[in-house]
Amino acid sequence: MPNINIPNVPLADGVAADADQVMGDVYLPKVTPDSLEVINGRLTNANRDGWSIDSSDVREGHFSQSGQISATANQDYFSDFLNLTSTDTVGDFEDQAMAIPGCSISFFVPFPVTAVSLSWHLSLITDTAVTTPTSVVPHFSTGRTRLMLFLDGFPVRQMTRQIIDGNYTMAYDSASPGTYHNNYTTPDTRQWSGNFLYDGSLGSSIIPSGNTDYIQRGWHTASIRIAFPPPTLIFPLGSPQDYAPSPGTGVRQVRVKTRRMSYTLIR
Amino acid sequence: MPINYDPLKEGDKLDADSLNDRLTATGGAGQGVNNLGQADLEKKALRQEHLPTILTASDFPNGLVKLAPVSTLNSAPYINTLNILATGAVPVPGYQTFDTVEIPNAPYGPAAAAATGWRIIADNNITADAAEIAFNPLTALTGSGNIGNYKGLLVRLSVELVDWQDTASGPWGMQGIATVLGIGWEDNLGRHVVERSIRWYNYFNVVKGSLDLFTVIRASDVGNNNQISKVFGVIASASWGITSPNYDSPIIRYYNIDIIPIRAGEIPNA
Repeated sequence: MPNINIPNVPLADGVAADADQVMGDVYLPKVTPDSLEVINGRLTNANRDGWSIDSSDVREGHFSQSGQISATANQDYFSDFLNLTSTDTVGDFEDQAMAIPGCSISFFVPFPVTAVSLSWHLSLITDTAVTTPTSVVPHFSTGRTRLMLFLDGFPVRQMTRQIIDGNYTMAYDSASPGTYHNNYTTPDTRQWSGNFLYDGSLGSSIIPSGNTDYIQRGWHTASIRIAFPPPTLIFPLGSPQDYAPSPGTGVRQVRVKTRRMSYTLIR
Repeated sequence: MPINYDPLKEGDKLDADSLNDRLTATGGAGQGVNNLGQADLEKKALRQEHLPTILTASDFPNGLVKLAPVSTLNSAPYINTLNILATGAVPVPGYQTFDTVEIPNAPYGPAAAAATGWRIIADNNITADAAEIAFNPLTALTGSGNIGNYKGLLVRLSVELVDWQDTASGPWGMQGIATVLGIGWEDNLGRHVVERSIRWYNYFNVVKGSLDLFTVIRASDVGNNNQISKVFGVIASASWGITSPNYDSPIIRYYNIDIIPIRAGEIPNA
């Protein structure tokens, strides 16, 4: 709100006083105030006379707010719950993707902000249907867990990460299904330390295009969701340079371990 | 006090002039409620309605975040290398220059052929899609530690690593092929990479799938009186300490970069 500009000053000398004009100068509520009524809670930064704002002037939480949620208990996801097939579309697995408790948060934006910063971390292990658990090459192509960021229920497709399998410790060998393989010394647990900043500049980069609701006042949600798309959905045909997945392979189980998500409002 | 005038007393004239004086004193240009001083307010009186944004709007006309295109299917393999493939060479990322391969928009995007040095991440070599954010030049002052109005620029980069072109180049393990990422900036002197931001993601690595890093760019990084105008993410492929030089092509897909200007201390009148 700009400074006020009192509308009826100067009053003309020698003319009978007009009560409406005088009251218009002293008190007349308007959407854009121009009378002294502005002091009824509608003063803004423009009314400051040039002094520098310091911490003693500001009520706590009015420049920035933040919050966080986390969890450590194991959370298991099985392929039985996410029964996508190779004929499904990207939209299908977005629909099926499930929010991960502890990596999902809802928060209130009390005033329009410049940006909302999100950060999260999760660690998980993926068990895939590796049929040759001692071979190196299938390690990268047999199954990947799909993690996606959703904001207010909409996917942010660029914030997708394919987390490859946990290698061989939990790998499944159809010839000996009761055997766990520890043939390699490579790590099992994969991690995603993600971040995302939402501001008004995203335009058509997001869904819905041009959406700026997220920086507006109100309740909002952010969640990392999980799905196990079949390999054919990971790479469109023709695009992979070295990856030719075999039908029927894919993720069997994912165990999400530690996870957290936080938000910070930036005025 | 914001409103400070002589009250009318019994016997004073109540006419247009006297009213004009008092209305102007209470709400005229640069007076009264249009000119509130710090002493006019109680401590902690300012709420969000009264406060300016922490960021100066004109500083970041392109926003604070850049995403890969939604339509990105597969950023072509990055086949440039950090070192010069000399036998036994150990690349020193902090001293690498930018790739000079003359493909469209170099040094953006995947190289068309093996090359040496950093490249700025850009899907399909399209500069507009690059993992970089341009903004109006901000002057670094090492004395105050300020970059423009800010104490530093927190930059976060995240890249989805889809695969390596693991054509059995080997070796595996700690000396194996790696994707190397870093965060850089452009100023009036050229492009630079923040050395402490550089991360190696080796073939067998717990974070594989998402390569995430961040750093704070400070005035001392940029140099006194230099003007920073871009931040970006860089990528290269490398192997380390091996006798037979090798590299493999990291294949990436989505990426995102954002910038959070860090502000501290007093906020002067905008």
